Amino acid sequence: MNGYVLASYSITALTLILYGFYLNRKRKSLSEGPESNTS
Amino acid sequence: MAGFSRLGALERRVERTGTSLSWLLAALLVAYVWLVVGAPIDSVQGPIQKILYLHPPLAYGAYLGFIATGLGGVLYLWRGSEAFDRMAIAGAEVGLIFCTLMMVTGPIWAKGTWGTWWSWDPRLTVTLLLWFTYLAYLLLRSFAEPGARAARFAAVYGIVGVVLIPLNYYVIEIFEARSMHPDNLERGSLGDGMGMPFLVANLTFFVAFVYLLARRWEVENLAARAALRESEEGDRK
Repeated sequence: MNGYVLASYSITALTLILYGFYLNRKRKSLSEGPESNTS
Repeated sequence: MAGFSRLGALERRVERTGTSLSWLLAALLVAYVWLVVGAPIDSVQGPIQKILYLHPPLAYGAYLGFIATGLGGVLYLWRGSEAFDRMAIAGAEVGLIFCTLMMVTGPIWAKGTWGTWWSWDPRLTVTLLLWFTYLAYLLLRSFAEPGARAARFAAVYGIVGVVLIPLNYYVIEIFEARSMHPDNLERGSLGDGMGMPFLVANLTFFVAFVYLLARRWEVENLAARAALRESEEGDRK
């Protein structure tokens, strides 16, 4: 694997994983209480 | 708030779908990594050709997101339920993330093969236009006062925006010789041993897309419910 390939896969994986975590966290905070902020 | 009573069952199904998809996604990711690492090295491009298992699946995910926005717009105008408007927002956001990643991985691949990060090639130019169209959609949704008028305008905008998808896909065939971008993939156009990794790559990114779309729609529904609860409490005080 060369640098270009590693960079492409790393950026994609990191972005999608962080976005997935963000959505799950937001979903949990909204499910827990009415005082939680909205998007 | 319209949409909660009539679509409650659908929303619950979306929530369950998201949970079960996470397991399928984990299994597919293992197969994806294994197949991509073991895929043959292209004799012309070398290892950089492995971006093939990343860049087109991201493009298809972007298309699906923007189609979800158009479909959500059609259903909102037809049925009048805000849940469909929220699906349109979710589609635009997830689609824009896939589109952004496609526009990051594409130039990386271009630098390694064409020797340049960007060229004003017809496919690249239309992709940039597509990206700006949905970025503008999301900016419109975040700045406009929420309500039926903004939702109706956004629905029409989202439906019109879908026109860019076939244009983006077929632009290479329209401009033929003026495009640096390779032709659209057809059956048999991949080398030996590349078909299965490409198929699993598309399946993995499709499941990842559906998972993220379901989660994003759920967040939008929960946020709308919280806002409704807040306004009801405010009215009681």
